[in-house]
Amino acid sequence: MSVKVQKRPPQFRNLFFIRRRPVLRGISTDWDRPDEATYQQMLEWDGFVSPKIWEQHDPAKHPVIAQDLRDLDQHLLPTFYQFSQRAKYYQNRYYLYQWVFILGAFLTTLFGTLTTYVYNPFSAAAEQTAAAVTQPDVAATAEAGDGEVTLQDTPFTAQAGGGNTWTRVFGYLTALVGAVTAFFTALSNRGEPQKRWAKNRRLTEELRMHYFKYLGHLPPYDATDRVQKLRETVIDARIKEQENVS
Amino acid sequence: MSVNPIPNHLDAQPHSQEDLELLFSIYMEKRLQGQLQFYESRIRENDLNSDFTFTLGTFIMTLSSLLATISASAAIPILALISAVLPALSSLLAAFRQLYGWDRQSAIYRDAVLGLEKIRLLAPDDDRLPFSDITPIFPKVVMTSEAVFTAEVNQWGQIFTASAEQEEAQNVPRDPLARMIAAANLSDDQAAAIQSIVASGKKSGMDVQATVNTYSEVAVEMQPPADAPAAGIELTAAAETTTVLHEAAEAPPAAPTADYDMIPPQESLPDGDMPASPEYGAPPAELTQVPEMPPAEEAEAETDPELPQSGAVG
Repeated sequence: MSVKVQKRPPQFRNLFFIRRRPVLRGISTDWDRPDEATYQQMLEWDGFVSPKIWEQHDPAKHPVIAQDLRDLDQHLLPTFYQFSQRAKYYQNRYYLYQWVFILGAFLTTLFGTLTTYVYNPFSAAAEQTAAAVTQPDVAATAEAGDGEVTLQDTPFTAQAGGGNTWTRVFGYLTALVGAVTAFFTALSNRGEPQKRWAKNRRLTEELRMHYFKYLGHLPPYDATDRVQKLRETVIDARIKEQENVS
Repeated sequence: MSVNPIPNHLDAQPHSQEDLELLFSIYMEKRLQGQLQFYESRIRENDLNSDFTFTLGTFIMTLSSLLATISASAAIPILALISAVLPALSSLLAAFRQLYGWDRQSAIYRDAVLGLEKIRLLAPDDDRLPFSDITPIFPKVVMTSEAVFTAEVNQWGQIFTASAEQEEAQNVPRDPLARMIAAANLSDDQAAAIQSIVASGKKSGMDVQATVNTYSEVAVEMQPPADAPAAGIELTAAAETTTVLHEAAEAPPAAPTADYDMIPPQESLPDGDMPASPEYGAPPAELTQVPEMPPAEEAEAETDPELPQSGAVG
């Protein structure tokens, strides 16, 4: 008899630049309740009790649990998923900015090194000499300060650009990377994504805890007014979520 | 199967014994087991990434040194270029290590796993479960487990805020569960209650009886802790854990507390069987009498081992 060994997913898929890389778009700040089948699957994924439980148990034998599940579905779970969605959104934003900073720093170093590498001082000196020989009138005009002199006309240009197309290309790339990094730096200063990610995730997990306490009728849900307590808990969480939001 | 309409008077109806058994199985599978799988999955992933970046970074630096040496002796310009770029690549990996903090995350998750393993001792072994009274066990398992989860959640924020020196200065206890309790900002009585509950799960019958004499009633409720301001991050939405001792004679000294904040995303899914405790240390029914838990109307010899279907692990 052959024994089937369950294949584990390839480990490389767990590498951070595959599994944890941020996305530019596609993550919404708001959560919209999906269709029922998808929603039930979400409940299962998030460790909640979905209506599938009644395929194995008779709801008539557990009326209190069935009622509690409906209460939770009505009052707690929408806020839970709202917070969870926002946590994902701000987490992605935080990591996106951090990735831009890190990669920007790396690329700046890389292009700077390449600029230095392709810069040929001997070639620059040769071009400088050639410019002086082939365009003596321009050089003379520049020296006399008479007439319009452009940068392309001067020997300085050849030296500054290294006399090399690649030098200019890498120079431009370095400037471009710097500009993009500066742009994202300015963006990251708005909205405090790390703080809001932390707050939303923390509140999400707090609501998850209340879910199971409510289901077990544990304090503070050990009285007949537990539905009201649950609603207060959710409202309190929503207030907390809005506190100190800039 | 459709769910019948439930009248409002159910608000005053306590859980039946069947309800408690179902809730216990739900909690053990969906909450405890699911969270354990999440932690273990994250530990594997974090270890993989930590090892990968460290090994690759070390290799790159070694290669850079080698190429620089060759370049100096052989005068090959391209080698000089590569030896100049490689350290930047190594720094890139180091930056990602710093950003994700895999090692620290893994340490936190390991603490949580060990804390949960201890709490699972409160639950009877699978084979003994059908013969056990879940009524006193269920609330203790839930409340102590949630205390561990809360502590884990609170600790997570340290990745972003606390330096290693600060952590050492906090004199964190060596015991994983004590560290989790310490992280929850509990009072002396609260910490004592949780420790006594966990300890009762490992004691012999005589010891348990002694515990009964000390703590006749234990219940736990969540309360907001002190705010946890941290450098760079301020969170007002503090996860809360408080244990209330209804009758506690003496409380052990409180573990040191710490300020924490952030939380990792939940990704794992519950899947698998109910955990089997290596020891059976269920405390007696007298240990805990929670008001909302009614006495068993029908002490059934068997529990329903069937659990709701769980999703696949993502």
